[in-house]
Amino acid sequence: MRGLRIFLLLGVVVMVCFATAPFLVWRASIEPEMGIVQKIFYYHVSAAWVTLMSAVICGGASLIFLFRRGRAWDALAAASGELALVFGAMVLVSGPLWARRAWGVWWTWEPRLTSTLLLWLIFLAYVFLRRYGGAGAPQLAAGLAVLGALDVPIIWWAFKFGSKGEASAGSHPPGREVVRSGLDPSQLRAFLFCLLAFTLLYILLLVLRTRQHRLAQRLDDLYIAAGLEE
Amino acid sequence: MLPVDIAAQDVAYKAPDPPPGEPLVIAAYALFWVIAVLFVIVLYRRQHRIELEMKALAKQLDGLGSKR
Repeated sequence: MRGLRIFLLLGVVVMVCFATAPFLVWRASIEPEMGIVQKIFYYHVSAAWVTLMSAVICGGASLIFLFRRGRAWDALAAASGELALVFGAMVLVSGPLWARRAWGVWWTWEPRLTSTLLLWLIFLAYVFLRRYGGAGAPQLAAGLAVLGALDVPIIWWAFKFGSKGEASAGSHPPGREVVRSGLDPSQLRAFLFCLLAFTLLYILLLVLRTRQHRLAQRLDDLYIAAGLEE
Repeated sequence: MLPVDIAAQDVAYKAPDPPPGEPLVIAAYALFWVIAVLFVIVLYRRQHRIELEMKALAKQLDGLGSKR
C-alpha cells in the first residue's frame, strides 16, 4: 500500500513536471546562433541521457541475471531495455529535425550519431529477441544487452572527444561544453528541469514495466505449478 | 581540359534553404508525445492482457477444484 502511494505520488510529480517543462522551454532565451531550433535541445538531450542510463541499467541487470539467475533482475533488464528503445527513438527522431536546420541534412554518418543509432538497433534486437526468441531467449537477450551497455562508453567518448570541444559543420555539437558554458541561466534552468522530468518519467515507467514483467513471470509459474497450458 | 566546367557548376550550385525553425521544434515536441503515448498504450494493453490471463487461470483452477 505504501509502495502504491509512493508510485502515485511519483506519477503526479511527473505530470506536474511535464506540464511545467514546456513553459520553461518557451521562456528560455533563444540561442542567437542556432535560433529557435535550439529549443529541441532540452528534450533531445534529456531523452539521450535517459537512453544511456536505460542501456547501462539493462546491461548491469542482465549481467547480474546471467551470473545469479534471479528472475527479478531479468524483469528489470527487460523493462529498462524497452525504455532504452523508447527514449532512443525520441533522440533519433528529434536529432534529424535539428540537423536539417543546422546542417541542411537530416543525417550524417559521424561517430556520435552512428554510435547512438547502433545502440538503438542493439536494443531493438534485444526487444525482438525477448519477444520471439523462444526458450533461452532471456539468456541470449541478456548477452546482447551487455554488448549494448558496452556501446555507452563509446558514445560517451565520441561526445567528449569527437569534435575536440568545437562544433564544426556537419558534426554534433559537443555535449558537456554546451551545457557548461553555452547556456545562459534561463536555458540552464529549463535544461536541468527537463533532465529531472525525464529521469522521473524513466523511474516511473521502469517501476511500472518491471512490475508487469514480474506479474507475467508469476503467471507463468502458476500455470506450470498447476500443470496447465496457457 | 575536362568537357564539363566543374568550377562553374560549383558556383552555380545553391544549397537548399534551411526550413524555418518553428515547425521543426513543434514537430520534435509532437513526436516526443506521440512516442510516449504509444508506449503508454502498449503498457495499458499488456496490463489488460495479464489481468485477462489471471482471470482465465483462476477459472481453470476453479474448474480443477470442483472436479476433485
